[in-house]
Amino acid sequence: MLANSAELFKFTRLTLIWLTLIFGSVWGACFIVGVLLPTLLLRACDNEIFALLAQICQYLTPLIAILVFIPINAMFMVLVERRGLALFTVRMGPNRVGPDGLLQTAADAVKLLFKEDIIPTGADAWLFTLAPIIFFAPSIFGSIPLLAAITGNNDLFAITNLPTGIFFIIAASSVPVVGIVMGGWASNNKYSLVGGLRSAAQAISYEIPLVLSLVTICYLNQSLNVVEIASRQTGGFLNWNIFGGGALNGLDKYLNALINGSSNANDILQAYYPSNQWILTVIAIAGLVVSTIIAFFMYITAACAEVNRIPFDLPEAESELVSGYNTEYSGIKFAIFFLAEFTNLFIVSSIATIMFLGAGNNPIPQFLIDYLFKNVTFIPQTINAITQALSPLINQIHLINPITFWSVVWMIVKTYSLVFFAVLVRGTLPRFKIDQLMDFGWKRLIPLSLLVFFIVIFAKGVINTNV
Amino acid sequence: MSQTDTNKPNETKEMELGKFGKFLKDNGIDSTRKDDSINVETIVISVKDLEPALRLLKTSSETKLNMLLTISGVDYTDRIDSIYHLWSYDHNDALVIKVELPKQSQANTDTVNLTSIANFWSAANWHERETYDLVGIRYLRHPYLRRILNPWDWEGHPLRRDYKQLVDALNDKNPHSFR
Amino acid sequence: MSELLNNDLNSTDLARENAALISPELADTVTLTSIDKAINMLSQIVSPIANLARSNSVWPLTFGTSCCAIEMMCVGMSAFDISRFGSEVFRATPRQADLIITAGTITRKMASALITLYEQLPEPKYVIAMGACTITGGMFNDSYSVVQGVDRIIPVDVYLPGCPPRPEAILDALLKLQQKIRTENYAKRRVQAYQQRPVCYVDYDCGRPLEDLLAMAMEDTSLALDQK
Repeated sequence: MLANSAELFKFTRLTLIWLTLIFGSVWGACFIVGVLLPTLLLRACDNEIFALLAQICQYLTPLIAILVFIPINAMFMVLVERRGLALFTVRMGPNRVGPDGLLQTAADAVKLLFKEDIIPTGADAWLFTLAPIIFFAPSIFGSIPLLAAITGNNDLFAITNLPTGIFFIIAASSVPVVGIVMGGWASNNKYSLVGGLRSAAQAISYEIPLVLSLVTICYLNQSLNVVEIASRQTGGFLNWNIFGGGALNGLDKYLNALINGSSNANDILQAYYPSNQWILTVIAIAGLVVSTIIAFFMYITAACAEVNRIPFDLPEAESELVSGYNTEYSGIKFAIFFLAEFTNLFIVSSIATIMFLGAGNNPIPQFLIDYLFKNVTFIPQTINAITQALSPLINQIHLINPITFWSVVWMIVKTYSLVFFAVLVRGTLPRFKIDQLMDFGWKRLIPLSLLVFFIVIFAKGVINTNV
Repeated sequence: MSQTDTNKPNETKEMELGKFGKFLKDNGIDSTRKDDSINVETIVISVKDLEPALRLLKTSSETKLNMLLTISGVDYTDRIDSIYHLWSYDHNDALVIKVELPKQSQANTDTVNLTSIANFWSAANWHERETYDLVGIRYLRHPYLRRILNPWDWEGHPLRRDYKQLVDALNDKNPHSFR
Repeated sequence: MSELLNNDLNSTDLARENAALISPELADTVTLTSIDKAINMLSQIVSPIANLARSNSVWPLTFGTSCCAIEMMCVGMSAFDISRFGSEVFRATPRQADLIITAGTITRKMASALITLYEQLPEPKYVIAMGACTITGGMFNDSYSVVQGVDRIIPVDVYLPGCPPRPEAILDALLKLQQKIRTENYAKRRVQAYQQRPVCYVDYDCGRPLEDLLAMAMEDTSLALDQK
């Protein structure tokens, strides 16, 4: 890493520029459709039809946000992957197009647009064309319920707040397999067909641990609603679902009281972890924390298999099947496959963030911030001054919403860290064999996920009865 | 080149049998010895003795020549040799066996026949296919004798002395015939 | 009917347009339609953008037949790093590649496979003939089994001499190819497209086209059914 520190710096700079680009454009689109256009419509004429139009504009905001976000984000993620892999192998990575290779993937996208679009003889033209669309569509409608959690339940995105959000997302995320099988079958190519069938087998095997690890979290939070699950994890990393989903709440409160010098610290500890049965409580809490951590890593593993990432990219194994299900795809159709693959990776990472890593919540406990900056008065003063200065923008034009802003910032940090982790895994691990893959799925992950689920149920029961 | 002076003394002056020649003679198989090829005993045996001799040399505990290094063919204009290189890991020993096959006619597409050993020595399968492909020895009773290196529609056997190379668009050096 | 249509069009204009666009070898096989005309007009705007994008993301096909392939692998590694030019994406399938680097000797047996691969590439497609063997046959001069220059079977854009060429030379060839792509015209590239023959699947053992074999099999089954 030290040998490549210059490249690391360039990589960081590139990432920051791209992120600004992505979220600037998404924010701009949202502002225009959700705030500016309705305001103008209402000012232009004050009748029912215009009010309705304004409302429709506001309702369309989540969709516009996603449609703007997905293509740019996929381009960025491809670039991150290529630059990241270059970083890990002490190379430079694409750096000729635009400043620092900023536009490399844009060039790729334009090139794929201008490539000849081949439908092979003997292929089922309808299904062949439909397959990339079916592969891509779920990543649009499946990610909509996430928006409410990502933006901290902003007014504009409150419409996407489904009561059964995670259920809907899981249902949507298993649709792309249909697209892969369809594409594999329609290509009139043996390699494609085998790739498609492998993908189906893989998805079926790995959907179970994936869903079970999410169900564990839903059980802990007593909710299927992503916004609610996100809001339960506020106040520092000790409240995150990865650490037992509220099992360490008492510890959090105790530390708070301890640091602030409050006298009732021990009472808090007593209230959360009663001393008459402390052995059982400690075992239950430890079991809960360990099993949720295991559930998190199980989710990451199963999600990697679900979106066909290395080391689980059996459907497109180059050494066995030429390029798997997309062997016969060229030009724009292949671009859509590529796009959807990376979007799925992003969605999977953001689900992991929302379900396990505290969504858009600050990882640093609030009491720690308060304690550290107790004597530094100018920081809250400057923050107040900035808030004061921006108040017309916040309150009247709705240009910025501080809650949404910080929520999105923390989501970006956490989600792209997971994406970067996926790239790191890709640069590190070789591919599984198909029998190893199936063994790992059915004989290791599924029993482990069931075990984790039962441990969580019993531990939660013990804690509930004791408190 | 062709049957030159080096081969003639063999017919007049019989060389003394080597270790493996004696072993074969003890088991009732006649062979004649030829000049060693790089310190490896070289013997010539007749067509009908080939299969029993190879079986014997492979399985016998005295010889244990149980590795078939290669099978090759050499064209001597009037005859074609099929050559078997054997190796013994147990005794660190080697043997070269030649079978001389006279050509029936001088036509360049003519093939000569020999019994295949691929049925009891699976290593021979591809070597025999290669020898068939390049030199044109037809190994009878081979499981699936077809060309291995050249395309299926190749005409002739390229390592024959009388092989006339095909001139077409892929190798014509005449600048006027360039595409 | 076709004569009528031809008369309707301003034939002299069309001929002039054709002469400007179509290369003389293809004059009798390619006729321009009004769509091509529109594309020709648009190409003034489209070409610079398309060329810039194309030249900066030339994805090679994973194709290596001999020692040159080792150098081609080497160029992807850290010492030389082809990824700086956006070309480290070695695609395994010809449908997604833009470029064949013919790394290694092309034998007569490989020739048909190479032609098939070339025809499976979507337009625009480019070829770098890498190494002495693929340029002239190299040290396999007058060999019975080696194609004496890969330009005898597929059109070559950049010749890259050496036996094998150094990885830097591959980068040089790639840059030359990028220069060539930048000078292209979108419409002309369309019109001058290499005339492709449909891929014919041949049974390896008997050498007969698969279609004939299928037809024979169908005949046999129908005969058998008739006898029953």
